[in-house]
Amino acid sequence: MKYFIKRVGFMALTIFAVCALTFFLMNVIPGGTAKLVLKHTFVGLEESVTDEQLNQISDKYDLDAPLYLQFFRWIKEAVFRGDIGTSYVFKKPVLYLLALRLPATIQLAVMSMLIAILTGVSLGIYSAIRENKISDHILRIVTLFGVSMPGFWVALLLILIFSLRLKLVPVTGYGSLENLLLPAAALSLHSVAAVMRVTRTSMLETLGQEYIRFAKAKGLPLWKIVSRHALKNAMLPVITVIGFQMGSLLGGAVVIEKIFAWPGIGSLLVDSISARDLPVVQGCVLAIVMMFLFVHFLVDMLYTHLDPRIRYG
Amino acid sequence: MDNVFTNRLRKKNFSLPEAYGSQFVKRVFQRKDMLFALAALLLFAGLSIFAPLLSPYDPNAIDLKNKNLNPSEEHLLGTDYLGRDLLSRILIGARTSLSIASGVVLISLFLGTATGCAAGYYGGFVDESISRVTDIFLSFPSVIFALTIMGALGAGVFNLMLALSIVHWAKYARMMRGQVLSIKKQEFVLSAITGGAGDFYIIRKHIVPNAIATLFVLATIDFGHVILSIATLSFLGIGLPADVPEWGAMLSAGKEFMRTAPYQTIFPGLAITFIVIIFSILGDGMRDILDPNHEGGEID
Amino acid sequence: MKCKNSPLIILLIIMLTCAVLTTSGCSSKDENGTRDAVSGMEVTSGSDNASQPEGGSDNTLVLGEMWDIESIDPINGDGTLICEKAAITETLVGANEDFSLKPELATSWEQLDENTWEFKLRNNVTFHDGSKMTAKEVKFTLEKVISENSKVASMLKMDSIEVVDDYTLKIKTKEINPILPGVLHYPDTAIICPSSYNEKGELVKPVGTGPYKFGSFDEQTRILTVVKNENWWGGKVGLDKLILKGIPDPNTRAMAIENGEVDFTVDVPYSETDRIDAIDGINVEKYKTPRVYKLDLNLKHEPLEDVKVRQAISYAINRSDIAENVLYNVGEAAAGPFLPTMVWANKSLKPYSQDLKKADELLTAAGWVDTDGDGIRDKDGKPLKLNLMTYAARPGLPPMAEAMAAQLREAGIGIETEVMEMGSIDDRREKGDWDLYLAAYNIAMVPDPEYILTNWYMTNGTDNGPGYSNPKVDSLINEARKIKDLNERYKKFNEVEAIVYDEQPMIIVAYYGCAIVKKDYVKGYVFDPTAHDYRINAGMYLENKS
Repeated sequence: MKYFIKRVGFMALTIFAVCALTFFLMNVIPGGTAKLVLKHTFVGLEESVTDEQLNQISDKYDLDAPLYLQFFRWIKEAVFRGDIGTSYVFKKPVLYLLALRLPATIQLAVMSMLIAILTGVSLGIYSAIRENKISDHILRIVTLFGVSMPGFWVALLLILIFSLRLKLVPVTGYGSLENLLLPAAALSLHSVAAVMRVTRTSMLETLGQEYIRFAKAKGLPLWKIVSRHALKNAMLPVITVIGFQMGSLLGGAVVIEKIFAWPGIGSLLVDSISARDLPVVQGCVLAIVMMFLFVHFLVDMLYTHLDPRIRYG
Repeated sequence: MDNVFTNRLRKKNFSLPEAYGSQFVKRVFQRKDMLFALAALLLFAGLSIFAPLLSPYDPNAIDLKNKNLNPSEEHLLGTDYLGRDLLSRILIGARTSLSIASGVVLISLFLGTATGCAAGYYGGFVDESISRVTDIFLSFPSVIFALTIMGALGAGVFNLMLALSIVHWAKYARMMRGQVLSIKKQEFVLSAITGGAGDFYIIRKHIVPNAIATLFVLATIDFGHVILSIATLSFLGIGLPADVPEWGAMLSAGKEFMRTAPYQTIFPGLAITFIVIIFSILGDGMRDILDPNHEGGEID
Repeated sequence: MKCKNSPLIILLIIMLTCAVLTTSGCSSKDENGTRDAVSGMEVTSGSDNASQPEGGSDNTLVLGEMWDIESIDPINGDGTLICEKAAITETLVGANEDFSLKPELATSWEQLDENTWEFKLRNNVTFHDGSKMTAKEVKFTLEKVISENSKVASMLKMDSIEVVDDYTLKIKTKEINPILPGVLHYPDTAIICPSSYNEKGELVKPVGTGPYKFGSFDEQTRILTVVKNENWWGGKVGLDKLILKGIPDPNTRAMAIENGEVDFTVDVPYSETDRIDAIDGINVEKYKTPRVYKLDLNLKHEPLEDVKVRQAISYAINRSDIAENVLYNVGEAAAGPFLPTMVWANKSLKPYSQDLKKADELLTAAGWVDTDGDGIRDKDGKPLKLNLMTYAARPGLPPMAEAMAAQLREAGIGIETEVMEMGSIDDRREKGDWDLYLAAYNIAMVPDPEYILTNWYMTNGTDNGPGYSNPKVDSLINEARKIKDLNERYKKFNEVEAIVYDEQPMIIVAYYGCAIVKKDYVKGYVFDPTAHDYRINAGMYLENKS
């Protein structure tokens, strides 16, 4: 229980620190927020802005106040009123925008995690059973390429093959399963490889144990040994790696969402950074970090539950 | 470097009394994949060092009439969208890519080692505060963090190095701290402390040499990640300007020509893929040799 | 025990639940969003259209728009989208192909005295909600625009507006403003019905007079749907429905039209235009839009202060080479700041063509000679090295900067190119820490030459980045302001154009192009060169779409 409180306290601290860091970073960007907001939202990128317009925007969004005051006002509103600001570009509350966009990102992340776990674990088991056979080697080489190719390149190649050549799935769009498949697959590539590698290693280790050999000697069929005995023990490290992968998935989602015009918070974040839509940047970062911490928390809980030897201080 | 490997192995109850530095080299030579990767890495390094001599054209010479060419005798790998020779650009690009990545890894290694060491060695408040800071840095997905920093700094080689180092150092710090904590309990450190040796002396003589091997493994694996991060940031339009010959920037600048002139993405893409593969083979191999019992995943 | 056997299964179950929850969560949100946005109107669910663009009625066109559709405010920021691309609203004043003005919602206008204008309105126009458009609604719109949109306010310089009768308006300006009718062609001044807003003054939906009326806006997928206005005053409307999808990446737009997900799109990667045109069933048309690629020269920096150096730079650039090989002919070599098709353009000007000999003569005369043989000219021991900054938001700019740098190096001018974010560029320009700046500027935000010439070339003009100042130019523009006769006015402007053509404070490199990519079955499309990106016309229809 004490651990739990400490953990939550730390999460709050992290969220605060990350928000402060983002706020600071976004404000040291050269060029002046008010001017860029004007250019991106109202007058056009290349057009000049007048002082009158600048003042109007600065007053409207209170951009002339000292930074620390702006930040504390934001924190105050966020903590006490649950209001994390209004977007300059969309002219809508940030929370509303997040509620619109978050499901798309979660959908994408969960789908690619599912793909990663299903294919990663099964390929890992297969590869472990066939250790050092040709198929094992081929699988390992293929996954090695999978983790080593730049994600956006793979995504573009996938579009060329599956959308334009084979005409299996559409390039853009959101809402149905066929829209989700390609981006999720592209996003899951790194995780598939990571999960597969870890499954293979820990599976090999488990299969080498005394009791498995005993079971083998008893004449149990291989699939039974694997599913009844080996899998359970091999899963701990897999769960850890899934937790770690969640972070890189969220990062990778930024790129994938950009390519597939996926309406998630990754693409929202990138666009907002260049449009200097500070409240939205802040909101997206907040959401991403919270998701990240939550997943880690979940993994840790699962981990402690599965392996009672582990206790956190 | 004497007791690097023995200690590491002793900790894991793995007795291999003669596992010294020479043994490490011997084991590397027993692994065909690592040998292959090492050879390929040397090749890449050689190419990048001698790039100005090897490249047939000026990598920045523009020839609009001969743009988007397929590989031919004159241009072995073809030309890009401004008619620049791809082979020359990839050779010079090896320099940029490898040096940016090395810079990032070295800076992170240094920063991480220093802070991790302080945290692990001094414990208490120092440890608590440094650990919290590293945790904060680690709880921010790295691409997104780098993106925000690059947004603040603007494009450019130096800024890119800085941004990626800020993102990457925390990993090293956390690992170093763990290493220091386990080494600190070892007899030879305890005896040095009771013998009245100074903190700095102990850190320099005992702790760092014993921990650094593991950090090098992490650095090797991280190298590939850094190369990929550069490419990702370039794709998002905030890494390097397209005129800097760097593989990631070339790949992302060439993406609109994937259908009409595919070679300007294929070659830089393959170069990136190969260098990442090389470092991941080397890193995995080193890890296997140093720590045969590892469960995997901890470094990824 | 069985359950504990496979933690993986637990995890999978958790994740599946998550997946189900988020999917159902988002679809319900989706409905809320749509309902929110379109209260009371005939609604077609946006996400349905998104997943099956081919479905529904045959006469539906799916448009791949070039920017993300973030909001639909017709008077403040999204006028181009609502008025030109979605054709929901219309402006008082229209423009012909040569950029001369023509009646649209207003039938005629007249300058009564220096500061007073009278506008007569069309009397057969109804809004989409059925109410008649009268002077009252026009007054409402213009007052709303200037209170919310400071850009339009600064262009209109409107003091007061007075309803004379149902179809006559009087506009008083604060100072003499000959471009007023031109400003009323600007899409953010398009006339909207007060019923576009609720009691709190918040935008509910844009209600205009155009050939298409607002259908729905899906805030999640950012898809805007408009439907045919059966009662359009202008006559028959070609399409039953138009779906606008924001696809900001040019590559993705190209793939989307190739894959049949959109019927009409613009600006695929320029290098892809010829390949896509060759595909069966798709055609690509290249047009010029009112925008130029121009190179600002910082006249406060020593080498560029010299007009000879500026002319030399202009002679060193191979404009046609750039248009052909960097822009793939989506764009054209340019002479002055105006398109030759514009009625007020100085047609005697021809683009500077590359002439390295002339450049050499000019630079030598200015004292810049390569004395140390490093390929870069120098003077008093200082090399002729300049930095050239640009930004990546318009895909033609970075490669153009590169190509220009290479061409200038041939003439012995060392160039270092930098591609930066707009924020950093603004910063550098404010500090004066730059030599050359390549950008793509709009030249007919308002279809009148005064706006551009004043902003670009007048001393302390708002877009006079180079810091150019020529009393002759200033007085010509001031004189023209008082002239009512258009041809006399244009003569003054032609003189200004000729002066800046010689002095080259800004080097106009190329006219900005637009590639219209559409399926063969899209008929009746007429390109409007006065549109800010492109305009969807009421006459577009689909023929035998399979």
